[in-house]
Amino acid sequence: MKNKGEVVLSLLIIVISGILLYATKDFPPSIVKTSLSPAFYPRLILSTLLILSILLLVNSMRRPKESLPQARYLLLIICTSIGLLYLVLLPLLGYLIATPLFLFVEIYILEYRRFYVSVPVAIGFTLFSYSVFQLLLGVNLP
Amino acid sequence: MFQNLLLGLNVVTNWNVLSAIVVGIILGYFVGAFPGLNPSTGVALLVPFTFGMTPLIALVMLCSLYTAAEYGGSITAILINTPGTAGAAATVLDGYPLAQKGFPGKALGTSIIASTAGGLIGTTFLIAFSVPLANFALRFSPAEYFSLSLFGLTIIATLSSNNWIKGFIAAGIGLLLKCIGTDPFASYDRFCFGNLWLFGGIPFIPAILGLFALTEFFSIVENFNPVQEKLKKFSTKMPDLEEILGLFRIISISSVIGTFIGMLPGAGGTVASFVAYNEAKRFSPQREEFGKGCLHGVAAPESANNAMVSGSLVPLLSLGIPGSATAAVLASALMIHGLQPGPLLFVQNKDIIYGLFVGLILGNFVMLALGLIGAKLWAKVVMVPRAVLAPLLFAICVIGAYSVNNSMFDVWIMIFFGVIGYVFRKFDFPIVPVIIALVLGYLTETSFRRALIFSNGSPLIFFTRPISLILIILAGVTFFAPFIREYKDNRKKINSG
Repeated sequence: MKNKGEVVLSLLIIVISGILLYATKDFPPSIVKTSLSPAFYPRLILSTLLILSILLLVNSMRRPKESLPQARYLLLIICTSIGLLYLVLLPLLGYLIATPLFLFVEIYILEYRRFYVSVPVAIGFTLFSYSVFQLLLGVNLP
Repeated sequence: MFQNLLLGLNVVTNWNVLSAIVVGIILGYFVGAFPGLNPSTGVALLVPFTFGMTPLIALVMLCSLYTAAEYGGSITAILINTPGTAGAAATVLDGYPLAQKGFPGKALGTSIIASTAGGLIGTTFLIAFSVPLANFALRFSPAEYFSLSLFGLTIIATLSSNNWIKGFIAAGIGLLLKCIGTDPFASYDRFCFGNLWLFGGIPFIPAILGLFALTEFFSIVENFNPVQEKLKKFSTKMPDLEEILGLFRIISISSVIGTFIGMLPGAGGTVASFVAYNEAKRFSPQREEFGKGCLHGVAAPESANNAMVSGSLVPLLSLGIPGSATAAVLASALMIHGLQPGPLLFVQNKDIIYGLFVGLILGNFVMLALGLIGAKLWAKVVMVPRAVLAPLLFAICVIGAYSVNNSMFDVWIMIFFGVIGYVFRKFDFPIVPVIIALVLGYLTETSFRRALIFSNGSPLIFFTRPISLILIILAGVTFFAPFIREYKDNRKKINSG
């Protein structure tokens, strides 16, 4: 599994390098005659990445199979989705509403049910961070 | 030199800076003591909060956090056999057995004294080395800067991972990401695909928060264990004066080791503490005691990892090349405050540099004081439930990323980097080269192109200038070292098989 993942990853890098190399075709030539075009340096890096990822591909294919370590992937997906939902709702609901909700839900999902702790923490952190950032300069989402 | 230090002292002795030191140390204790939070994550999380502060205060606070966090890791290492930071991994080897024997106070006391001594010795080296190094680097031309960046990147790529291909790919990806944005010479936007927000390039703070802090969030969640660590009561009896004096030699040697390892870009607390531990064991008359609760086994890694902090600042301040992952985060903090890490700092911002030096020294003493007083308190940090910490971590990351430019786009950039960091961790790609490449990328490219402009397009300039040539040779040696190592290993296998 781990091997396959590496193979996929190196293929991905190869493909992306290829696409980006193609994108550099549109870059304009250099303005000053002796200077390099904007494309040179990215192309240099992209070509190096391409070669390296091919090497990695070969390397990963040759190795015996390895499995990914055990982890709570489902929990990770759930928590991350809640986090992403929070980000989507943030501009809509505003910081002061979305953040305590997010914190409370996430803490709950992580099996912490002591509400007398989680609710004050959720609200307290929101107020604290709001005041700190409002006082400095960052204007939070209304 | 002395006058400059007096200048530094002058700048530092006002309430703002002093309270910044104390706050930094306290936060550092918290970050360090909590298993899973590393100094790099802690510094990354604090950087957005330092926006409204002057560069000196911000820098002093961040470095104080770094210092205290490197010590703080030993608290949980000793008490619950879990290092609070990567740099304390070697401290468990003797710290925990010592605590088991009933002497946690001795271990903790040794640790704080060793850490403070390490920090002070490291800072002495920092002051002694960085000034002449910066003077030397002031004579660098773009060619030297490019070769230096190349050398820095190759060393980091090779040191940070067992698999050199992955290390170089990580560095390459970092350099590539740095290309996104407006070309520095021709004002042409590269790889922006029309997205206005990307014209300025990838913003540092969201990238760092994503790579260091968000990956920690993912890690905590996917390894989540609702069962909470319990902390037993423990005695805080300190080691006696005789025992402390007996540590003098080991602390000095380990601090020197730690400082020099810190100066190596890419080698951080983990390497420093293990090398110091192994060397201490090798040369100690008490080597049988190591692993069973020997005070030397606690003093060696702890003085090394705190000395490493100052060591990593040497290349950062004098050359602009971070000496560790956390130093890379500090580099971006400097840049956000409008300062370019490198030798010019010593000329244009003397007050900040020398203020930092004095601040580090004071910070070590504050750390000592707080550590001696509050050992029991810091240990309680472990009792903070992970279920509460993880969401808070996410929320801090979000607000930190947003506050840079008041833009949600930056937050999504942070998520993107968080995903990259997660994938990297899963497949054993090192993250440090990515962040160092982001930090060094601009310097690398502009020096490269400037040098070629000077030489009218001839690449020979990198080889004809002596300093540049030496650096390129060093870079080449570092690049080929893994090949040679592999070749030798294969030869051994063939011969013995």
